[in-house]
Amino acid sequence: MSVKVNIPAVLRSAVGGSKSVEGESGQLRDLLSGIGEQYPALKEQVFGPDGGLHKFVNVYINDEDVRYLEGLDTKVADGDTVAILPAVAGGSRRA
Amino acid sequence: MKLTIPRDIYDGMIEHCRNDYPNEACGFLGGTDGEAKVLYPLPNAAASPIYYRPGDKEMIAAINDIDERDMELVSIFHSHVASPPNPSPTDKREAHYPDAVYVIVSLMDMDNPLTKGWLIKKADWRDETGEVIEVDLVIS
Repeated sequence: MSVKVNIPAVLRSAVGGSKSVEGESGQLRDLLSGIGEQYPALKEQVFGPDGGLHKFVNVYINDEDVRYLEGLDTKVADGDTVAILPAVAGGSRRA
Repeated sequence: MKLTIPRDIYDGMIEHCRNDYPNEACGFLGGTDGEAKVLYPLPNAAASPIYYRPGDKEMIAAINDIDERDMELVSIFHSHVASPPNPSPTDKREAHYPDAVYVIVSLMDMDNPLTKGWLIKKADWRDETGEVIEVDLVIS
């Protein structure tokens, strides 16, 4: 068993066009770093300059936003599904 | 550049926007080759008249369905309840899908919604500023 990580369209060029990649269970930080070793362009876009998740990148574990879990320290188990999604938001608010 | 939206999908999108009034509504259109094929009305988790953020579970389910059907996310739509259908500073800053047409439905005149489509192109999709290009919407 391993962890399936769904890749959004805007990031697929960073993983050779795949809709998903496989990674190892453990801490989310290690999962994403492990995948990032294979796909450096993905790592570069997912992480911000401070080493945390980029502010416009949302990561979900089984549909739960990791920012409401334990962030990059969240444990990911075999069989879990991780989704990376660019943030979706907006509205008529002027600032 | 144009986006074709079949009449039934267009009408469903407008109905969803009206139903969420006075808050902004949001959703996705899945499709291929610049034509919308499936409407995904999404809840606005922000429940606000000036801001939208789709509910996480519904948004992920829609993205997964679009993938499973080998479609693309051809549009991210939302309503402006009291302003024209032009991208606001917030819309431009928070647009991170360079290939999706951002469709905005203005409900300033509830009986005659005004709808426009926009591409928001950024040098890097994570940027906060970019070029705004109007896209012709063809309601077929």
